[in-house]
This record gives sequence, C-alpha cells and structure tokens, in this order.
Amino acid sequence: MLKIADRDFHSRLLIGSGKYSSADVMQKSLAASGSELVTLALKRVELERPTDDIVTPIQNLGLQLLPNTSGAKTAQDAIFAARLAREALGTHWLKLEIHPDPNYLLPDPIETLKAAEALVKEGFTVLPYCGADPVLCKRLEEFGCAAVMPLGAPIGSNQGLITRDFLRIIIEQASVPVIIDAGIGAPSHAVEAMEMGADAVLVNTAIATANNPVAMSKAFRDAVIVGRQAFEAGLSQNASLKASASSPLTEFLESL
Amino acid sequence: MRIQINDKDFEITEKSNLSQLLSAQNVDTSAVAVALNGQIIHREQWQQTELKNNDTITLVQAVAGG
Repeated sequence: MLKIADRDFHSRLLIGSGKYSSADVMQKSLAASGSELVTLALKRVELERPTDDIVTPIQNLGLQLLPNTSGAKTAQDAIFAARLAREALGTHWLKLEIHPDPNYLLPDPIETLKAAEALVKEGFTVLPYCGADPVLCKRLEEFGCAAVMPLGAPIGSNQGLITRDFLRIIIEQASVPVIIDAGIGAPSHAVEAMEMGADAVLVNTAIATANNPVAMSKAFRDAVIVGRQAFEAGLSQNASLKASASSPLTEFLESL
Repeated sequence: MRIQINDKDFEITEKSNLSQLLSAQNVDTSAVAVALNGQIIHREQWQQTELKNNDTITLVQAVAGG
C-alpha cells in the first residue's frame, strides 16, 4: 500500500489529465488506469470561450485531485497558484512545479525549495516536481514535503529514466515516497522505475498521446504492478558481463 | 464603471458584487477561484464583495494538465 501524507493508495500509478483528445477518452483512460490520484492544471478563464467542466467527471470516479502549479515561474507565482487551486478545488494537495525554462521545462530547484517551505507552513500537502538531485530531494523532505517527484527525463519527452543512477540514490536515501515523474514514455520505463524501488510513477503524455490511450492506460496499470512485485520479490543481483550457468554443468557428456 | 477580468476591460453597473458579476458573465463556478486585486476571495464572501471602479479580477478554473 502506498501511503502519502495521511492517505493510503492501492495504486502506485499517478496519472495526468492533460493532452487527451477528448474528455470522454480521458475519463475512460483514468478509469482503466486504476489510479487514485490525478493531476490537474489551472488556467485563466476565457469568458468568451467557456471550457467543459473536467473536475466533476474525475470526482465521479472517486479520484483524489492533485492540482499543479504549472505556469509558475517563481516561488511567489507558485504560492499564489497553490492558494487559487485550494480555493477552486477544495483540496490542500498540491503538485508543486516551477519551470521557467520553456525549452526543457526543467524545474527551478531554488524557487521550488522556497515555495515548498512556505506552502508546507500554510498547510498544503506538497508533492514537488524536481530534478533528480539527491541533495535537493533530502532538503525538500526536511522542509516537510509529503513526497518527492524527481524527473526521469524532461516532461513529455518519453525518454525513460535517463537520470536512473541519481534516482537510485534518491530512493535509497528517501524517507518519504519517491514518485518518478516526467519522461516515462513506455510501460517498460515504469517497470524499471518500480523495480528499482520507486514508490510510484506519474504518467501523462505516454498514455494520453498513445494510439489507444485506454489500452495504454491498462498497460501502465499492469506495468506498475509487475515492477512493484519484482522489487518486493528482490531482484537477483548478478549483473556482471560473465555468464553464470542456470543449469548444472554436468560432466557426464565429457565421458562419452 | 470599469473593471478588469483577466486583463480584459469590462463595463459593469455600480454596486455589483462578485457573485452578480460571475453570474452575469455565465461563469460555471463549480471549480473556479477568484482573486480581487491580488487577494483571494473565498466563495462564501463573493456575495458580500462589492466591486469598485478599476478593480482587477483574476479568475481561474481547473483544466486538464499533467
């Protein structure tokens, strides 16, 4: 069971609600994923172009909402966005993300740390999106974040765990859940993250932009389960280039 | 009098409150938040919050996102 702050989750797959071709496909994919925690964004209302309510369908599925602070470029922006999100959605759960750079959307560690400290003090349950920096993750944890969400690769890049060696250190050192966010492009990447001991993964683009998002959602659901089972079973540690026989090398053939 | 909503100018009648404004603009208020001159106004205070000339309103809603 995954425990974040005071809540237990059966599923170790967190899912984003962005980039789906329609609200209907999103809703079916969320349901198929088995996820219990779903990210949302905030945007300014365009009065001349009203958009559909996406919150009610998500809430009807019984899922915990995790609004993000996407669009924030500074700690100050993120704090304001967090307060607006709490007001709009009635939840103090927050995915804190501050990425001022438009090309790689890499999180700003200094602003993230500042905002995390302030928001924890304001009573938010803060899950910060951050670089795969073990020192930063420890600092975020010390500041009271409920989990850390280091990236596997830049957002939406589908490159997998290019930060894997640092993710291993983060997982080894963490005493809060480690959720690998961003860059997971295929179920195999999710399996890898879970096998190495991540507590959960967050997936959006890889599901939402698949040819069949609902089917891909199921594939990720199963991948996360399989990866976790392998981690709990304890992987065999032989990783050398040399072979190691799995059958007895009997000598009886030599006597023929 | 004139106010701004999300950086756009609007002409509204005197003594309007926030609730009246949102309903006049047909805003679905189920998952929105409002800040008046940078200060968040809780939903239960919309009715009592009378608008003044040159007020600046930030109106946000939850949308899909990762």
